Amino acid sequence: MNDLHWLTIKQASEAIQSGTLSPVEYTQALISRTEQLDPKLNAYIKFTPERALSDAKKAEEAIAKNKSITPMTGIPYGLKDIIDVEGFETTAHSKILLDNISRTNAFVTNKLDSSGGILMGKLACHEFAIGGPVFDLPFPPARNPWNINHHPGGSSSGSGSAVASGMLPAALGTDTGGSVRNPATACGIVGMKATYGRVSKVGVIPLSFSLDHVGPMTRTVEDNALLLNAIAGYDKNDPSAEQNQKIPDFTEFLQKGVKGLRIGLIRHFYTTDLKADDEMCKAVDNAAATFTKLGAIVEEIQVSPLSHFSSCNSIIMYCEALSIHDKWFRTRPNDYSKATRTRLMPGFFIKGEDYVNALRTRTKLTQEINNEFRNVDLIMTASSMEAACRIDEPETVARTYPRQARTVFNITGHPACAIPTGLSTNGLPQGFQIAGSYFNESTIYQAAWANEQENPFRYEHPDIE
Amino acid sequence: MSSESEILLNELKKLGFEVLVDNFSEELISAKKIAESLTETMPDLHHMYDEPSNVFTPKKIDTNNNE
Repeated sequence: MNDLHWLTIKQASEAIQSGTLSPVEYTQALISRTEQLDPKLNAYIKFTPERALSDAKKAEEAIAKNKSITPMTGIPYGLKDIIDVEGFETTAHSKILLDNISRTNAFVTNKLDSSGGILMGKLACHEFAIGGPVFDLPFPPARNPWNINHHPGGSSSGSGSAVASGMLPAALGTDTGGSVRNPATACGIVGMKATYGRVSKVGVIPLSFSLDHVGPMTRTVEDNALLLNAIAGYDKNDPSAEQNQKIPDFTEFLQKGVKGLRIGLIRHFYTTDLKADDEMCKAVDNAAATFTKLGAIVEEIQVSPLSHFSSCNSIIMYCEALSIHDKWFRTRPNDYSKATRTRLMPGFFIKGEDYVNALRTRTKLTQEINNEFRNVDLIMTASSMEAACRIDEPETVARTYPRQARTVFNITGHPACAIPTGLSTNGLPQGFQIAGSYFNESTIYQAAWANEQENPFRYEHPDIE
Repeated sequence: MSSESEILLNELKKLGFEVLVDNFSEELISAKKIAESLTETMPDLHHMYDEPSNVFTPKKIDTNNNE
């Protein structure tokens, strides 16, 4: 079997279960791929090939004995380095946590472990999931496989880079203001922020308690649904976990098509509130046109200005984040990167009344989006306003980073998925977002899959050899 | 530096952030401006009553009270 590194989870899983692919052979192929590419991409903070091969042998034995096989059995994956693995450092890509050894697995690590997944290592991110792609930290920033001079998005930067480059078929990231969906768009892959409360956050270093989500990142929509199947579920130790949620098979509607689905297009986010560049604007409009061609009913809808959502997100995030970083700001402010420090500091100057008003605004905005879901099945809009910029231009990174429409769904807690559309004229990925009503990730995947089938980009891979 | 900024930085020092203020006062002043610009872009809620879900009512207090 050639090009094992480009197998999807679905393809690899079928080959493994039919006996035509051994988990050890597959893992070894991805280890070789990583040894070849990671020196250029810096996607890994901690690469653990020995452990991976040992787990692959266990998966092989389990398959031979036909013991509790799942679609993730024998499938390698990586974790953003704010997710705990027992006995490993969880550094959050920071000098401050270099010696932070985890005593237990995160809930999602346990879920993937018990489903037979093979951990390949811990992946780079923006420091504490909030900094930026910077060069004043103990580990270098991850690079975009489509052009290593450009950033891969963030904060789940290593997850995006590793999946898009074929070093991994699956990775987990976290998303507080778009940090799964941003690298997904920047790297041309699929990233899902499921409903708030769908996936446990226990064992994940928090950035902002009420906005954080853990999410799957893969190269295809079907793989994303399979990975969400593996990590979703109630966790009694997570106060934000929804106890009464039903966990469907998220692949259930994939091939159902979109005929008759009502999709609300929030165009003013990327044409008026923020102006996406022409190519990105066209990419989102074309995705909407594809849905119409496939029989969906796409109608433009109007909600509050994007700035209301993004400012509300920032105010809540700054306050919650500072409550976590307060002690290190007193004792070790020099150990943060400048980017992280300056991104956390506004929390010192948010007044109590502004925080309360942000909470009130959040309720109002959430109600507003909920009202829209009475009339439409899905909402679509832009993800980023332009393709990823160069990594070595901090001012451009700082200027373009806030130009996005993802925080909307962190504020409201609705599930939202970033889907690639293709490449810009300078060869960098573009994409859009689809959001759904609470706990309705399956319908998002249904529409995303239909759109993906119409798009030849799903056969394209970055040329980084 | 404005006198208001100076007062705020001194308050931070008193709260135990001496190292931060001594080394990064310019970054802190920039952060203050970011915080102010955020609140300026928020909708005006001053004359609006909250959504029912955000308001305490005797019924809610009753529901939350296990006794």
